[in-house]
Amino acid sequence: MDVESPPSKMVSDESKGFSLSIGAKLWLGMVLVVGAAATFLFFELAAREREALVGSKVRVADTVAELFASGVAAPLDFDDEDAMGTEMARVRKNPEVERVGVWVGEDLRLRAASPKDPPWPAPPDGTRVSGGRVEAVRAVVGRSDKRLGSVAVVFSLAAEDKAYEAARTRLVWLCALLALTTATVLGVFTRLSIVRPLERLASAVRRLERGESTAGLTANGTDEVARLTRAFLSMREAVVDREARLGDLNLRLRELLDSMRQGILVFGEDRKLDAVHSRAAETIFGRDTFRGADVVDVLYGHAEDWMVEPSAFRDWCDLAFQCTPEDWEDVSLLAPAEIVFTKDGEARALSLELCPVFSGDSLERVMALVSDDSEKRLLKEEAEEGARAVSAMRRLIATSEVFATFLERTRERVKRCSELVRGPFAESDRAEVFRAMHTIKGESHSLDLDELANLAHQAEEVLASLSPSTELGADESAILADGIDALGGAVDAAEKRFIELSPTGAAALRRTTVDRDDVDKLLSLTEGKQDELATLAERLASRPFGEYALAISERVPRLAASQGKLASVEQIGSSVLIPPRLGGALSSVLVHLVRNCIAHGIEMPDVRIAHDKPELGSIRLSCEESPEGPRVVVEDDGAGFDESAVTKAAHSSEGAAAEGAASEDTNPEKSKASKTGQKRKKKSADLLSGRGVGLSAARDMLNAIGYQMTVDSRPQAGTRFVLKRAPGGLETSAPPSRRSTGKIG
Amino acid sequence: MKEARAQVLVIDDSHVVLDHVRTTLSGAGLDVRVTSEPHGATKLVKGVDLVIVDFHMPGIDGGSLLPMLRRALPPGELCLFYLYTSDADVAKRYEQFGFDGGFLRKGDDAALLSQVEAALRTVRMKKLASELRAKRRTSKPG
Repeated sequence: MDVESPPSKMVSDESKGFSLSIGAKLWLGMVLVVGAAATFLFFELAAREREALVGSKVRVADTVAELFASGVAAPLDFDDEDAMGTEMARVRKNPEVERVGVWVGEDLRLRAASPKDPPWPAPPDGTRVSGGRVEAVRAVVGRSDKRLGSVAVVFSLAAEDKAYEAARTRLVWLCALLALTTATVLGVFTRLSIVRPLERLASAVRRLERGESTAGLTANGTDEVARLTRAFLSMREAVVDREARLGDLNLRLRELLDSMRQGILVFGEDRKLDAVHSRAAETIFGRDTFRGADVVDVLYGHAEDWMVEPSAFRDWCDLAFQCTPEDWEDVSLLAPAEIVFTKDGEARALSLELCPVFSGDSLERVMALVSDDSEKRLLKEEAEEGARAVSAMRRLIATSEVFATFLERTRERVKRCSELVRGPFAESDRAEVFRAMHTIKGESHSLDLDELANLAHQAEEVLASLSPSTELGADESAILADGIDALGGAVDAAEKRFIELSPTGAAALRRTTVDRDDVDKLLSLTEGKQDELATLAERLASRPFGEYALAISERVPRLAASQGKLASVEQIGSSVLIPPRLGGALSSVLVHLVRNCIAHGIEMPDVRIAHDKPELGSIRLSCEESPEGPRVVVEDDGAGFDESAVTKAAHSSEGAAAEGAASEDTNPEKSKASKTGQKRKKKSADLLSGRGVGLSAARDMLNAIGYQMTVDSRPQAGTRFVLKRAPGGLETSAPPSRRSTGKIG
Repeated sequence: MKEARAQVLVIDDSHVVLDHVRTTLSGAGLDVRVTSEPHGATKLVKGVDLVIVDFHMPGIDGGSLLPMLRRALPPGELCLFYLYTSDADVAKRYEQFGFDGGFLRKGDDAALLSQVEAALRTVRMKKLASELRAKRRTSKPG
């Protein structure tokens, strides 16, 4: 029993659509997180940088504005234009100061400003940052703490903006570097501690699946991956142990099933075969794998499209898988008991037994047990053929006269019925036909002529279906006429079969049983006479040629087989009558001649094939009438032989050696046969050919009763013995005693 | 399950074919009826398990005869009708004519016998399936 490896059921790595490895996903996630953090950090640091730069500028503006306000307090109080101009010029010397303004009076009139400045209303006190500038406005207080006016100084933030841009660029690079470094470190860590261990584990799982070694895989540490690896290693141990036990079980099952020498296949409801099968199945069906194949295709793979058997088996499978255990007996009877499977052009008879495997009330599997019964079938057919022949022979011997009478009466009845059903067919005619059919049926049954009996029965049924008042319609008439015609044909066929099976042919139907002692007495009374009575007495004592040829004909295949040869017999002229004098010697003579044909004529099968002859040698026994009486011919299609050598051997004390020489001289191809065949043949030839004296003895016996034998033997063409009355031989004489014949060789 | 002898009806205009088929099938233990009269055959289909019909017959072809044969079948009686021909073109169209199947290789006794036996198994399977269904219906509670 073999168990084929199942195809991998593991999910393929090649999944449909785009997919990322877990390592890539982790790395991408980390990049996103680190990138977001770096961006946030960048904006935070940049904002703080700008805040620091602007704050410093505001402080400078506040200080300058307060100094300027105190500086212009005295010039304003004393209305000293020059001093105020000097103060303004000093402030303007600062390159970062964009504008300077001085307002006086309660209504804050613009007293002094840069010449290019547009009209500038007095801004409120305080410091403001807007539009890339810092504007610081302070009150100018006089000697008596009286407000004299306001001053404003506007600083440009261009330098701060430039410094901010430089700081921002620096921060971008810094954050990017920080993010990249962090992502790289995390990626390396993830790969080393998660991805790579998982890859090693997945690789080990695949190796385990393929049945390969998974050595080298170790579990270090206590993290989740290490725990997963330890779980896998435990599972591996369990799988290996289970596989070992399954393998052992399979081995024992294989030994058990293979010893049954049956082809074993298992299939389920979908008719797909399991992997399990026996070695014999491989031999029978000529294939190594069965997994997934349709059982119908395997069993009937050779079938042609039109054949009904495959579809019938499919129907059976459908029915079987619907049945319960209690239905199985009925269902199994409808399964094919045998199939004819053609392999390499040779038809093999396979017996089929189907065994159910039920799970509860439902059929799970069917086990098909297949045996190649071709040889057994051949032997059985030969045995049945032999039994049939014996049975037919006994029936012939016992009932030949009865059978002849039956044929005669049945023909008369068929003829009469045929006329009646084609005529007006009155009520009385129907009764007569019915009685005739009934009689034929009964007599046919008694003679085991089933076909005749069935035909008569069918005609009876048609007649019985007609009511007495119903006239015979055209259809019924045609059916009855057909049936009766068929009956006539069946009678002819039965007679033909009888004649074919009878050793005496058609003569058997003409003969009647008489007491042999009476015949012997009649012959003795007419001995030496030439009148009509003597002729009739001799004809009465004569027996058909077939009776003499039968015994040796039946023995030919067995005799040939004992020498490793193949031979068959053809019998012609079985009904030709053999006069009693020849009959007394003919059986023995035929035995010697046929033995001679097998021993010296028919070649071994391989030799015959080498000479373009059929393997099966042919021996023909024929008899025909001639003016001189019956002429018997025994001939074969063998190698031919040297009669003088055989005759010489018959007179030699070294008969066996001489026979061997004759055989080799005349039959050189025999020397080419295998040593085994030679050895077997030699041993059998000694027993079969009677050391070569049979041929000579047969000639002597024939000569003694006034007959002669001529031999015509040609190399590779065969040998022909002709037995006929010798010129001047005895015409009529009493037969030799029945107890004195046949002692030859 | 004890089965009665399967009954087969053969319709063919050739007596030689009929004799041949009858001898072959009778020898296998089948109860065989034969007729060369297509029109009279309708009276013979009762109780038959399998009808084998020749296609090319004088006056009527097998395809035209089939509906008449089916009508002659008593209601509820299961019988399969198979075409028997050597005409491959006709055989391919057996379903079109309404046949349940076709036997080819006319004259090949071995092929015919094994196919007839398979067809008869199909008939018995249909009958058994019907019986099993009826049995289950009656055994169901309620």
